Amino acid sequence: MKTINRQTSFKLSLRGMALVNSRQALMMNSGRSFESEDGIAGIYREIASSKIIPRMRLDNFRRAGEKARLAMLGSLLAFADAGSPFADNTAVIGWGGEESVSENRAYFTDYAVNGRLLGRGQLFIGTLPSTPLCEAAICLNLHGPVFYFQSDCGLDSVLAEAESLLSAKPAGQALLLGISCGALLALLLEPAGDVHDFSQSPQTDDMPRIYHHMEKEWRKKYTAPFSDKGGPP
Amino acid sequence: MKNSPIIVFADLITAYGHGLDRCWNGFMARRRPFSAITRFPSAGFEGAVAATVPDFMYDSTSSLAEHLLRKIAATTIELPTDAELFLATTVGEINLLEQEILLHKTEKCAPTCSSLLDKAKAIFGKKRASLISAACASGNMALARAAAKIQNGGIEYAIVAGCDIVSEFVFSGFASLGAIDLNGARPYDRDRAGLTLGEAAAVIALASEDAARRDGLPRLARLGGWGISCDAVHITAPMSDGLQLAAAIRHAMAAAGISPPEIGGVIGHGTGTVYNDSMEINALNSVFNEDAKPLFSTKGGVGHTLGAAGVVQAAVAVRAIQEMLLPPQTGLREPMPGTERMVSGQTQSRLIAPKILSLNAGFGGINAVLLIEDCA
Repeated sequence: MKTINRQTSFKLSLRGMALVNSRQALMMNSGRSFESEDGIAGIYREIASSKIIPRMRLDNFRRAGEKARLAMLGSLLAFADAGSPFADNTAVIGWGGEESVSENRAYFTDYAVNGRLLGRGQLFIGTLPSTPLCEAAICLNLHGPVFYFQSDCGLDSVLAEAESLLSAKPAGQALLLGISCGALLALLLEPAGDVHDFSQSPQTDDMPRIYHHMEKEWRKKYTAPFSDKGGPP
Repeated sequence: MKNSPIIVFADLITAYGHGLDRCWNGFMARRRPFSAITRFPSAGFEGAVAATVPDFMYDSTSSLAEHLLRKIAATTIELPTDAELFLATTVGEINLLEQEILLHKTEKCAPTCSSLLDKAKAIFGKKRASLISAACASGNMALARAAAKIQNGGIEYAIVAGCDIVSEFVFSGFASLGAIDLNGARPYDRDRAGLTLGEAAAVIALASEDAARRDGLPRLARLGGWGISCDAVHITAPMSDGLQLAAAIRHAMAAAGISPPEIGGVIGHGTGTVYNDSMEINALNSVFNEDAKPLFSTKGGVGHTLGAAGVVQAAVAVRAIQEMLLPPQTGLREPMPGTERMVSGQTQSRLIAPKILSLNAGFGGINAVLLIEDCA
């Protein structure tokens, strides 16, 4: 575990937050939750039928890999949680440290076992750390800066990046998507105010721990009837 | 742009060799240092070429990107250890993952960009380091984020390093998308048919105006403005009308307080693919209308160096401003329609003014544009 110097105050307002894994999706402000045994696609169907998100054709959702699906669904829920329309110049910043290593391995293994003659394009396009973020931007029609970010200081440094982007106004909102271990934490931020204080979370450079911490907070606050086996799988 | 950072150092390693002189002279001589791929079995990609760094061997056990970074770090300007390192890469140490799979290793690789970041931090001897990965716009994105941090007073110095290698992983991937011209890229050519993969390590060091003056650092150029956008249209294909790239160009100029007539020239993304180059020209036409600017792509010479491309372009922009010209377009035979007044395969172009736009456009529709100008 890394020890980091905490910065707990940012000129950011946390407008919406969503937690998603393959079994459940939680919205932090509204307290809503969705569950499905059918994975992320099943959770999406549950959410779509609840009419809390705009009707949209999610053709991309069906062909996307797991991280892209998490990114799209988490982004939709973070906006729904905020009650905000999608702002055209929203920035999408990814983090979490996992990059696209599983997608890289899947692509190259497929290429290698098939004779090293030609790769499979469908697998190749998922091999960039920025791909899930771009899929979310495409899904929600967001035209702000999109990039994957990693530093020594975990969530604090990502928040600082968002603060910097928003203060310089190349973006009106920032959507932070942390993806790790099959789970996603989506934060929708705007300038001004103070962001949620994550100082009680065990380690802010550890996305799965932050996820678990936020999930426990959600349970404490809303005590919704979902499986007690929550947290990143 | 108020408090815009100064470029105090620029260096690069490309298929032309180590150093800006070698690269610039290669461009001016219209030399294409593309060669047949010997680094990995390429039977499936008959006759394919790439722009690999000369005398750079593919060692099956070590990280090529780490080697390149070590080589360029050895000649990089000394800056205080609190200078922040920004690393731009798309796949980092991907050859280690290739070896894991091809040699059936049981020990699994770490994520390839983050592992390179850890090594880069040690190689450059910096306390703080950040990874920026934004597909083929990573280089410009990292420069823009570093510049923003200097501009808002967060740091005084930044080292922006871009690094990606020619790998079987990426080569086979681009080939699967039909994006590679087996005969070598010809950016902005009427008969362009795809990109040539390249590799590079490039470094740009930035300093605040105050720090550069106080420490007597060379004032090579100024990173005057930047603009970033996302097409949000398709995961691989660019927006055909270039609307969002044009928006990023306008934003970069506005941030620098510069109007379109003041732009001296453009270093385009210019991959040599049909769709990228067409989109770029549409974007440039929508911004500059009839006021055609001299245009040049580095990728006809050094190939598409992926996450390093923006940093390579920034280094070349520094030299172009010093020389007040853009080189002839490497590989160009006949300009694509609409670019006749922009590009030339035969002659260099005088810069109209010492202000250059450098464009990056990556998968997912990520656009990042820099405005690099003299320090006057």
